[in-house]
Amino acid sequence: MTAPDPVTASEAVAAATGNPPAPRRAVLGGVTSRIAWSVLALLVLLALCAPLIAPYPPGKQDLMDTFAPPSGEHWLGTDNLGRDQLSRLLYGLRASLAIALMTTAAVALFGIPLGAVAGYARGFLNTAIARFIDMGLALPSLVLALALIAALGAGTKSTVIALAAGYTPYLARVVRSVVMRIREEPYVDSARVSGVHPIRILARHVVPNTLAVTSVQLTLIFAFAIISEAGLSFVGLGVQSPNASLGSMLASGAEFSLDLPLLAVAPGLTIAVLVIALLFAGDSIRDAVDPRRTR
Amino acid sequence: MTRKQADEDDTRALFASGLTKVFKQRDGSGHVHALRGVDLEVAAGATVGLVGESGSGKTTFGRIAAGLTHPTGGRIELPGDPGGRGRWGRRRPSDVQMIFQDPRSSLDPRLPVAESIAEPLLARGLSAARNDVMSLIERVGLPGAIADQRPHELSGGQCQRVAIARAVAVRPKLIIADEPVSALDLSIQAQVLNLLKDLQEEFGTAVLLISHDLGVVRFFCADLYVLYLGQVVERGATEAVLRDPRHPYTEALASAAPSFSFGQETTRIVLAGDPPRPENPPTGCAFHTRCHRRIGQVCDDQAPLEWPTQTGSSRCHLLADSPAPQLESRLRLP
Amino acid sequence: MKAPLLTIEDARVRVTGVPDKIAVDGVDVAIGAGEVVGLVGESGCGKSVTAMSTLGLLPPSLTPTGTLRLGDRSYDLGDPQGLAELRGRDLAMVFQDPGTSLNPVMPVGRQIGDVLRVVEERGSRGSRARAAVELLDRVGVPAPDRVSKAYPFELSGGMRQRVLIAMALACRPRLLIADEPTTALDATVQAQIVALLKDLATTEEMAILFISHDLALVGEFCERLYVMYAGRVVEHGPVAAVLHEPHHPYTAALVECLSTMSAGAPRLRTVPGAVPALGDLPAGCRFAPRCEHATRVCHEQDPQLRPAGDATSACLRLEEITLLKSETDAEEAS
Repeated sequence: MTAPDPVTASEAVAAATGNPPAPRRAVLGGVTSRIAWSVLALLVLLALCAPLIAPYPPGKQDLMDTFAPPSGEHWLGTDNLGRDQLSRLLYGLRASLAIALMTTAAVALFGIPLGAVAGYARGFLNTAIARFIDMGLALPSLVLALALIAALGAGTKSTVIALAAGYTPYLARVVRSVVMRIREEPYVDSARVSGVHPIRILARHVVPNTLAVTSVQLTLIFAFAIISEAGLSFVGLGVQSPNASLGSMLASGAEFSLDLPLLAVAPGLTIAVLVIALLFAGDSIRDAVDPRRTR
Repeated sequence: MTRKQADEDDTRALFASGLTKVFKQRDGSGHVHALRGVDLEVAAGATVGLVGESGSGKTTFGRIAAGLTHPTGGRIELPGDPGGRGRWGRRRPSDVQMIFQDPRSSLDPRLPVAESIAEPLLARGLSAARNDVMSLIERVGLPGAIADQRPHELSGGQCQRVAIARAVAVRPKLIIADEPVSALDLSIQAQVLNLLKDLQEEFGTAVLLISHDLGVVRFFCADLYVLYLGQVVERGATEAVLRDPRHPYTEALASAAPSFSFGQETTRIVLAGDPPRPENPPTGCAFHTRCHRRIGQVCDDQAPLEWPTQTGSSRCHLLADSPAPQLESRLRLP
Repeated sequence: MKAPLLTIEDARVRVTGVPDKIAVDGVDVAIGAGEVVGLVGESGCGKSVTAMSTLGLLPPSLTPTGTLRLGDRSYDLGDPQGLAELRGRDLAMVFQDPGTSLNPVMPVGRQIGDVLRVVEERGSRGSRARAAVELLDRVGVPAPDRVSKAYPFELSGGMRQRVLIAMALACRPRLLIADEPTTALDATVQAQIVALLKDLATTEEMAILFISHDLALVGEFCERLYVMYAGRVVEHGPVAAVLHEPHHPYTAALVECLSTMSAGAPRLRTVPGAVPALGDLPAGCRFAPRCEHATRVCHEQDPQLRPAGDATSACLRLEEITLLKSETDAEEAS
């Protein structure tokens, strides 16, 4: 799945007049992108500073004060065990972002080299790895996640492993198809003629030129990881009590939604805002890694 | 390696004998015979042209010579690979470089051009200091300021100069130039060709120039091979071959090329039909389906032998009968 | 010159919203009925943009102005709706790359039929299919009924270009604009297509505006010629006059480039420098920075087109300079 460049006005002019296209706008261009990045930055900042700014320890229970509506003491109220929702939300955001980040990092670490080697190789090696990837894709990711967590026990670490296992084949496949296109480019041929070692060709020429596509895919995977983690935690397989994650908060919030709807709305809304911001920001990343942008 | 072989290695930049290349079609439906027994030689420091149209196999030959694909059969000796099997696993012929048709896409769009130029030097373990790269940039007539620019910031002609700088950086014994100026405007073509010629003379590099443009090969190459459907149909000294073609295809090609016959009176020979596809080569002489001098059944059935001409040879039944036959030429050349 | 069938008056195209970036800066072209006129120039000169503006096919990023007169009707180039009337009726266009101009999932006969359906509102599918086969026959396609059912990928480049010409003919245009129609084709196929176009100009009484960067091709094929540089016409006139006795240094330089290539000279004549970028046009004559005859006045004044022998040229120093060495000089030099 390659990303064709949009026909911008400058490219149309270039085609008509034969002059090289003008440099594209910077990564932060466009109002939507700016808003998206600001939102993301804010959420990340809140997550990082959770230990500093959370008014209460997230696990501190106060059974005298359960289901308290928002007040001066508890800005987002308390849950069924009297725990402060704001603090839990901050820590939950922190946990969800951490899991998504680790997942995305793992997917990139394994998926990119796998896809690159598969795409660059010809003949048997290419087909063999491709079928291996297809096997990974054929397994429903949620079922795979359930199986892995059942084997490894629930918790943060196994969540990351399960999600990474689910998404790596997807990225590897995308990388493979982009690499198959790039390996036909004359600059790759030129490196081969010059005697550059194939691994170095992959690292220096091929993989960097997949960045436009891979970076967009990785932001999508990050977003999916947030949602999947929420899903897993919702069914009790992800982050365990007393630790908070957006998904587990959503789960308990749903259970008690008649008592205090805010318990579900707050984490749910956070997930939504986070994912939407990610998707908009992801678009602008592709433009940022385009080498035609003047630096 | 015998002494004779060692001597031959020094005087030859490329030697291909009976080279064949067959591609299997993806859907398994058949084979594409891109090269069907090509004999080609480039002496050290010589300039040889390889012309042909689509389906002739000239690009395939260039890629095999550059080490990008392996031949299916036959022999090809290159600098650094005297074995001639054309297969070298990890070892690559260390003294061959290539210039490609599209200047922009032959340079990594992410790298500043100085790094693209330095790459072959580094790969060979040679010094790639900034000074060395800058002197190469100057040598190809570009301002030093472009060293840190990326290909999209340069014009097509400038990119091709960078590609040339990269090719000559390692002082290769052989440069394969595949349509090096086809993508450029006429005045820029002239600039780039002049540059290439200067460098070729200065470094004594052998050049195999692959082109469809007869004007370009006439300017640049001392010797010429004409390729049709994977076989050499005529070869010889460029001037002789173009002035006095000894094969009907060469004759038609020369007649069809406007730049070649510019300013002169010619009767254009218009061939019937399309160039045949290499998936399905015709029987006998491959050119018989379009030949305006076809003599009869023999052309359809028998592959012609190679007959000597004044400076080379030609594969045509017309030459079979007399020792030095004259192909009545319809071209009047200066 | 015959009474013009079509004239383009003061065509100007600028980049929308950027008033100082002008792709075409005041171009006048006149074409007589059944005349074959060439429009040459190198990349960036604006020839394609001029042609596209006559059909109203420019993207919104370019704004055209000017007038198009056809017979006694006149149209504003800035009004694509008005021009749409002409498109596919009196004016037809054939583009450069036959590979991408055809719908890959539709047989070519149906595609020609689609054009016919627009042109003749009545008529059944059967009659259109028959008309398509006739058109294919008229453009010299062998076995036209079989080809009519074929898909584009089954056809060679030359055949596809013939299909496109057939589609253009379906409109019974009075002017066919051919934008680099043979650039993507082999030399021998190019010769066929050019011969076909020449033939059609006579039999169909159709004028042709032939756009190309290939000066030699235009020289052989066209009756009159316009040479463009940096958005302006610098010289125009009968082909023989313009090419054998150019009155503009740019034309002369291009002609010399070509002659040196076909004469096998040891060094090619070049034009130093490069075409100026759109927003970066020099003051005075646009060619002055690259012109060997430029004087101070050339960098200050903008030249206008003036008569020069049988042709018309935009050079300030028209009367003072002689261009193109004579034949004997050229031979002595090489």
